Amino acid sequence: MSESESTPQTPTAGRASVEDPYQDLEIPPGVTSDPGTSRINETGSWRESKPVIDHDRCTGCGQCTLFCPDTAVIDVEDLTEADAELLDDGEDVETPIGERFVSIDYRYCKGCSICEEVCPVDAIETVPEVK
Amino acid sequence: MSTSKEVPERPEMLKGDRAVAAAVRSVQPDVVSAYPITPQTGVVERLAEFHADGDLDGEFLKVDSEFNAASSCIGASAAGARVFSATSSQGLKLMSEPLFTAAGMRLPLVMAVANRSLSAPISIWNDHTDAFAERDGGMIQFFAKDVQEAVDTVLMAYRVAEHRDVSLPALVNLDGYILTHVKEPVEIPDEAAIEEFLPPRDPHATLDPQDPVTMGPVGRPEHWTEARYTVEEAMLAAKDVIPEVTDAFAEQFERRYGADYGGFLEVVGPDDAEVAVVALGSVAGTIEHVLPDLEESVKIVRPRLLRPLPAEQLRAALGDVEAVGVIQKENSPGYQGSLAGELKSVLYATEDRPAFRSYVMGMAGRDITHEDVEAVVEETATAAETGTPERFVDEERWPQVDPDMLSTEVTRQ
Amino acid sequence: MSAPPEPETALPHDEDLFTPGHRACAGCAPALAMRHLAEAAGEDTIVAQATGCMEVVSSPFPESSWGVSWIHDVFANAAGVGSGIEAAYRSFSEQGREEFTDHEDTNFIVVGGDGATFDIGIRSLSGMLDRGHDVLYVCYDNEAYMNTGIQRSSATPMGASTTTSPPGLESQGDDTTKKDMPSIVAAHGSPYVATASIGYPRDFQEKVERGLEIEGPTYVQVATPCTLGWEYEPKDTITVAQLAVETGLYPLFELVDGELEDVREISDRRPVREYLETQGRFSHLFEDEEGDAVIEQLQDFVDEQAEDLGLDR
Repeated sequence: MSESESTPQTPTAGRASVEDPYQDLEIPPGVTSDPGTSRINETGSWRESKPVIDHDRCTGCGQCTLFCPDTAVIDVEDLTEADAELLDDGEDVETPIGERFVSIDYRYCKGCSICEEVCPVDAIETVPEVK
Repeated sequence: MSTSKEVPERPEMLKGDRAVAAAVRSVQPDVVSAYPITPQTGVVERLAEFHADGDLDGEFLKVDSEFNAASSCIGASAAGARVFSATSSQGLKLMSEPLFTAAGMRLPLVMAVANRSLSAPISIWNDHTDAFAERDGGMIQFFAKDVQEAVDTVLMAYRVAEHRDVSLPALVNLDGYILTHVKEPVEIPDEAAIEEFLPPRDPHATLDPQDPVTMGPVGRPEHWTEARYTVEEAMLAAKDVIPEVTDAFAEQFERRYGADYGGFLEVVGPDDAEVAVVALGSVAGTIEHVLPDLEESVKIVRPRLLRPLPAEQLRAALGDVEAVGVIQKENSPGYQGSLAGELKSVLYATEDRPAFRSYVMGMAGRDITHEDVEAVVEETATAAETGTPERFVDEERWPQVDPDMLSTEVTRQ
Repeated sequence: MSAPPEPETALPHDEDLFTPGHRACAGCAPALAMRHLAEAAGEDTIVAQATGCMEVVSSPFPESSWGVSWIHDVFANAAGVGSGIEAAYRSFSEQGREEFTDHEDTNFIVVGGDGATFDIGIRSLSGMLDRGHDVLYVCYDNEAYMNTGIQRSSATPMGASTTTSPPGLESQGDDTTKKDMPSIVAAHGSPYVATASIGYPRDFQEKVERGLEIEGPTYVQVATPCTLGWEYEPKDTITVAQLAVETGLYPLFELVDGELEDVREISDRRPVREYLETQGRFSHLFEDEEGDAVIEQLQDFVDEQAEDLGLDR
């Protein structure tokens, strides 16, 4: 997996952009929408507090991933270094992606903190969101 | 595909409801979904018989209500199927909620409506109150004069409704009992002929998992106006498609409807008639019988479509007459019959507006007689001679009302 | 050397069949249920959904959270629409229409909240069950008409506060028992009826899979707490869901051809009081004798139900 040196523009398997459905918007016949376009709406902006994972404590049990209503806790198997940067919103994260089990997609995380509650090893802490 | 019961092409005497069913059988829709209601029941029953004998290949859904007849037609149409339903009166009212959405979602479907009064009081007999109550839904509405036309219009409706630029639900109205329960000589095109006439459906989108789509989303204020406008666009497109389809039908089956008016109007009588009588559906046939006995110079203008309303054609047919008399089998309590209202709106744009009289008659199957028609024509003709406001009165007349049954004074008889 | 181009939006949600960006509340259990439903069903799926919270939050044009084909029509007719879709595919398969996928493999699913399922859409569901369409019906049960602002439904438990069953000088909240929808569905002859809870998502997924596998009209009802309507902190959604099961208030079971199977037993059944305490919608029951009487009524009901179902290990 470790393509930590790869530049962001290097395509990785399965990487795709979310087409902006609002760009050049024309009403299609029957007013249909394309699949998966909700991804354009980054609900992370709703947050007033955010969950932060202590990756040293995390055992990779997957409970957080299982219970997130917004699919905002991601199995690291699906990520590259570049992806991780995006997900972490440019924040400094000590643990490199290769050493984590899960990572939070802060673009969508609404800060509900279900993940914190269901974590059996208290590896997640909710902190105030600083904007 | 079809097995035992071959449907003959030569004219045969068929009861209207059976004839419509036979036409649908030739179409072989993918899904038929209908709930019985008098006087449409014969259509559904005959289709059930066809299905039971293996003559109707598609699915025949024995739905729990008209609400779900319409709903299952919508689902099937969204899946890409060709569908058929039929109803009347209360059934059409119950379908109203989903039917309106079919227009907004541009899902074509064809249904026969055996026109019948809307309750209350409950009535099983014919009038047009049911059709007019659905006027504003974005559904195409045809009106047939006789059984043959009902059959042919069902066939043409498919081609119009499924046209890519149209893609709307279409209602084919035929007068309940008057057409559904009488036998008339009728030719039913066979399956092969229909296969030739009707191209396979080519939907904009279907629900097939190969290419997923989301249908029926929330339309926020910033998009809804435009979305609604697309339905209007589709109706306007229908105005171009209907003449094309009527032409194509005439070429293949040698029966032409609404000649000179693109299939939109049927005009019987001298072009330069001084008086025009406007009516929808089978009553126009009755009026035709009276024509030779009339002193006045009269033509009958029968719209074959309520929606899209053939405004230009109506202006062309009515603009030069001295007086127009409208016989309506419906009314809008609080003002007047909707057909009259529409016609006045159409004629507002003409230079010399004809005198105008409107009449509510034939409600719940009450016979419109020879004498009734003569009286309408006489009064309408007289209206042309008097000046305003007599030329153009707001008030509608109900000439068939028996004032003895009413406790209040009847002013509009 | 020029800077590398801006990276495109990261990938992780390409495979999601219910994508993030939906407008559900933070901590929304029904949204989690939709996620798991879509995952269990997979790509070869068509969903017909009723008006309700999950429909509204997942489909504001032109955005859609649905990665599978999906149609919404009106509040009361999802089962009717779903019936039509399934019938169309049966027809296509009969005709050998190759441009459509084979209906044998495709999953036909109808989704509705408790409002759409228990109340306004019950006619449509009944018809679908009666006709025997090969469709899985999934009801996400948050025990009220939530999308319109928390009004009671026939799924609202006795004593719960909603805007149309508020507690007051003469009221203890909702005054009717919860409609037993699973029994009603089973009485139609459905080959598979199951209750599930978002507190146990794998169990829910398994039941969805089973419902899809079994031919005929099947039904899975999943308990999904509503943080806003039930008045508790979003983070407690899963705890609340699990407590409903642990107190016996929301028993989990399967009815296979009408026979009770796979009842989730409870080893140390907690008193319903513990569950009621967690939510503001029941807080009025803790204020006086009348409220207490309702709690007792609920406990009695649960005790009886536990015995009938064999809940206690």
